[in-house]
Amino acid sequence: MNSSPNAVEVHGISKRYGHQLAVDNLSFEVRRGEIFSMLGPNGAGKTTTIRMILDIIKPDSGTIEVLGGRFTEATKQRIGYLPEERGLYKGVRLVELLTYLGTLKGMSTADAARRASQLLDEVGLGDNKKSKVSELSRGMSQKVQFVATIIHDPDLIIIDEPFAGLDPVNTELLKSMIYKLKAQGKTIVMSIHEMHQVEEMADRLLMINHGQRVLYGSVDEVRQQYAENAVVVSGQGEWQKLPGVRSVKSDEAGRSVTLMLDEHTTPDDIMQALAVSPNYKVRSFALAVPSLNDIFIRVAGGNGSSNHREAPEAASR
Amino acid sequence: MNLRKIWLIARREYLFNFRRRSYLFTAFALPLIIVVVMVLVIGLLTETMESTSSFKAVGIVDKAGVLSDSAGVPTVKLPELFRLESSEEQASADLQSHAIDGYYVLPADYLRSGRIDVYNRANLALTEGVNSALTSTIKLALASRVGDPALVERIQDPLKALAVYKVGSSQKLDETSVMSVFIVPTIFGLLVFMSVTVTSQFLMSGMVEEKENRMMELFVTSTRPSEMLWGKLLGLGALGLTQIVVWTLFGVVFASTRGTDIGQTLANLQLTPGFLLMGLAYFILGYLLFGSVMSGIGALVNAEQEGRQLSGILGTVGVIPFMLSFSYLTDPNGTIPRVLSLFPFTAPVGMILRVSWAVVPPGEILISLGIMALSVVGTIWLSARLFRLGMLNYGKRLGLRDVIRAIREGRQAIVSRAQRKEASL
Repeated sequence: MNSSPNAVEVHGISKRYGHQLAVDNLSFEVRRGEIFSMLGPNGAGKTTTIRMILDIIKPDSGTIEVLGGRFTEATKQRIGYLPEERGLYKGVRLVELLTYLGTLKGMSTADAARRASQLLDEVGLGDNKKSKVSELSRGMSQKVQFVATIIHDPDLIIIDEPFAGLDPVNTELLKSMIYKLKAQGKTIVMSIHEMHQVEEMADRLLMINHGQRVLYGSVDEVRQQYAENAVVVSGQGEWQKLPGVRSVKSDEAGRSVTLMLDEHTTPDDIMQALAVSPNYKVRSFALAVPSLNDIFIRVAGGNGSSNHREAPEAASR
Repeated sequence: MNLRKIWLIARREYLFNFRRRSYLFTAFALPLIIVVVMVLVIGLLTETMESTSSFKAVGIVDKAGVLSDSAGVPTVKLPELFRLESSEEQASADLQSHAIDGYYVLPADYLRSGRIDVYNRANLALTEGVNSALTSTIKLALASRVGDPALVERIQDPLKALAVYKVGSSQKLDETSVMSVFIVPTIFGLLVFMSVTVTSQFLMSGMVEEKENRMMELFVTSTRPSEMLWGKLLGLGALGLTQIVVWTLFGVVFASTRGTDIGQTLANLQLTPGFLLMGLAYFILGYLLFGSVMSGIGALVNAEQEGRQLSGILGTVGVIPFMLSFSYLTDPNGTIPRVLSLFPFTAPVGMILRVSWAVVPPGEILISLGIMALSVVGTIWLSARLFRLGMLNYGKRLGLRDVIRAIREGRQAIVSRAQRKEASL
């Protein structure tokens, strides 16, 4: 094992396809033992970045270190990769197929067969060991693909869209397996669309748009960073008359309102003001922390490109 | 390169494709069908055309006095099948009574007119075999009139001491090899060509399948593209060799059931160790050449359909020597055969045909093999690049211009117009 605390270090990589800059001077690191999420709209450069980390394609400039060094053939044996566009041989029995994929990762045939059988039991496909992929349902074959990704007990697991197309039961199963891998000290990098899964699972995140880093850091940091000086309240009263309230936005359902505060006013000031005034009845009071989904839409969804450029500075600190 | 991984890939490709129905058919069922058809056809042909065994007796009414003197005594020894009839009435009566199966009438002016009338029963025509027996009998009778025994013998067997030489050689070929000179190289060339195309077809469809099944990224993060390519080439090459061995065994078994001495037959057929070694060299190089080009094609297309069209063109190039085989007959060392035996894609068939019809300077064979070896190095290098390119560009149709640009710029991913549009939104 290497002493470097990071499983992946990316320094200023760029990749150009013709006139299109797919990845633009991107830097980030993935710490050992964490679940790291990569987000971004379609075509933002996530898959290109993953492919560069995996040495499938080379960056035009910049450097990448994986598991404490340059990417070599030996590195491949310590990485498990589940691509977004994935598949399996259709006409081959599961154990045979997984054993073959395991041996290609450097395992002995006996070890690969044993582990294939054990993992198939774990994902609930113990009865299908002799089945062919063509006989499996979509969800089942997705689980087989996941097994193929981790059969050789890799230290770094990179998954492109792990939950796409999975039903809730299998999503939970996969999630628990990912947590188990994390508990074993494995590093997991996921490219993912489901924001609530990122909020729930990821330790840190990276969001890319137009090949550039627009959000980066721990999930909590990012949310706080995007938190505006505002509170969400529900109740009755003339909210705009409170001192320090710049403007009032009511939500679509009309149940609560967001009070945007000026820079001299804190949420505590508002709470005190509400408590002492008989003109207000408050049922709920909360800090306005945006969900990742809101942040995603704000950053990616066309608030004008000037916003995107400011964010990295704020994020890197 | 990691040899164990190449071995694993080769073994997997071999075992997987061996179980394919289309392989089992070409390797086992096809030769069986061919053997059965050959036995039937040969049997039927000899039975109906050459044999005289289905005839009890055939009469001859000799009004011209060619086979008998004026007293009706034969002047030559008649084959057992024939009997002289005193008159047409007699012959007709014998035919009625089934004493004979038919009869020839040589009219009085036969020598001048050459006319012969044949009568047979409606359900049993006199065959070519009977006709040729009559022909040689008449020839013998006419020749004996001259009174020169040497002449008689020459007319009986004009080609008795036929000596056949290959172009450029002073060594006489023996009699059986004269026939085989034409047939065996054609069969051998066809065999080599078929196994080359069939296996490289597997190579291509395997790659298309992996692209369709989205297996490529999984492989590319496990092995090097070159290991993948070599594993596939070797595994499927072994499969092709297996097919040749199976076919050869079928041939040997077939020959031995027909009472032929295999060793003698092989020697007669000019399948000398040197010739077989050369055939093997052309098989291996030809396979690597076609196989690497096919995997390059497989890397670029998305559906097997498209691949088949392109590989069909390649296959057609490979059989050009067969199509131009007349030029081998007239001048095996002329320009056309020489070019065909040097051009790498036609060389396997082209050289095998040429070597069996003429003596080719060993230097030229070596040059031809050398050109092929160099081309193989080139096509493997190229297809390794295409392989890597194609691996990562599935779902996209790669135009020739894209490919050339990608090879020149050393890029591994091609951005389609749709992606470019998406990315620039």
